[in-house]
Order: sequence, then structure tokens, then C-alpha cells
Amino acid sequence: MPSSSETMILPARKDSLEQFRAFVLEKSQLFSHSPGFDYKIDLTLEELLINVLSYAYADDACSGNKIMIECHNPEPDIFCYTVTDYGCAFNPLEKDAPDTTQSIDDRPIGGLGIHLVRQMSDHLSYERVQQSNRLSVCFRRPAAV
Amino acid sequence: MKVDAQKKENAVLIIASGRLDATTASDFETECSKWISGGEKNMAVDLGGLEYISSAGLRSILSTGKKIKAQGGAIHFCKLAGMVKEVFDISGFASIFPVFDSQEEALAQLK
Repeated sequence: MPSSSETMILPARKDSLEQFRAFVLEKSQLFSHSPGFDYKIDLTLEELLINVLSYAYADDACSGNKIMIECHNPEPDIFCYTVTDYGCAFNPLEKDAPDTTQSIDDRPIGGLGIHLVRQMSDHLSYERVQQSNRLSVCFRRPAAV
Repeated sequence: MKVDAQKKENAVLIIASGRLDATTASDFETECSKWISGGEKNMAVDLGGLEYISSAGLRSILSTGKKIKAQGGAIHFCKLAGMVKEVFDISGFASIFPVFDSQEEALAQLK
């Protein structure tokens, strides 16, 4: 069980997604490996990275062009990854949850990403540290079936 | 991601498999839009071979659904399984769109 964190830093571009995905899945699968658990890691990571590319780096006025991901185990039964970007301050957790009972006509296109992240993870936290946004997502080890 | 389409009597049947994510969602939407622009009103979508869907995939589905509705048609889904079904459920899509167990049922309800 790795206890120290492991880190990957790549350019903030859509074509970095695949490398980040392979990196985090490799670490998470050392912790727990099942189709359901892998899916949760895969999906939350895609949603958060797309968010960073769409919002934190949407404005050229914000400096920074990299994304850092660290994987860590704060406790033996908890796996977390932290996405750090150096763009504009953006806390996705402040967004209101979408109304998932609306009809097709009223339902806005978009806004579901963070909702899915909340539903699929066990703990989420955001902090603005100096000039960076740090979003941590944690998962409890699934109970053995 | 693979998208196949077959023209049926009352509708077009779309069969999507693989990953419907931020990279591939536009392929799915483009294929569906092509049929809608061609005058197809009804669509049945088989997601039985879909391994993964993210919010980008859901967005392409909602956008397709809105276009079909605007033309007075309907879109049905079928064969959702595993985590894809769970994502449909927690996003509320399972209550927006009719979902069936088989292609036959999804198509039969489109008249």
C-alpha cells in the first residue's frame, strides 16, 4: 500500500486527459479494483479535468498552463486524488445542484458534471492556495463482496 | 466509441458502444443530428454496448433529445446496464426519457 503521494504534472490541454487517466487508474487499482470502483475514478477525474479546462483556464488573463494531480492515501482505507490548477479562482462545489426532476424542455444542457462527482465520491474538498485551485476527491475502500 | 445506425420502419435505430465521453460525445451527436436533419422524427438508441458515459455524453443525449422533441418526435433508449444505468438514474435521465429492456420494445413504442 503506497502511503506517500505520487504526482503527475502535464499541460492544461484536452490531450493530457488520457495520460492523467492512466496515471490515476494505475494508482487507484493498487488500492481497489472492480468495474464499479474504476468507473467512479474514471468519471470523477474526467469531470474535474474538463471543468478546469472550461473554467479555471477559460480566461487568458489567468496565468498558468499546467495541471498537477497527486494520488494519496490519508488513511489505509481511503484513496484520494487532488487536482491542482493555476488558473482563475474557481470553486465548482459552490455551484447549485441541478434539478434532476425537470422535464426535457426545462432541463438546461450541462451542469451535471459536478453532480455526478458528488454522487460518486465519498468526500470532496476545495481550497484556494496562493494562486492555485486544489480540489481533492476521496473514496472509501469498497466493502468486499 | 462506435456508432451504428439502421433505418427501421418507424424510426432510426442508433447503436452506440464503447466510451461516450468528452472526446467522443460530438461523434454521437453528429451522427444523430444527421438523421434528424434528414427528416427522421423518431429515434431508438441501444446503449447495451456502452461501457462508459460521462456528463459530456449525457449532454449530447439531452441535446439530441431536445432536437427530436422540437420536431414533434420521440427518442427511446434501451438495454442500459451497470454503471451506465446508474449514471442515467442519478442524473434524472431515466425519468426524462423512456427506457426499455430491448430494441424491439423501444422501437414498438415509437409510432
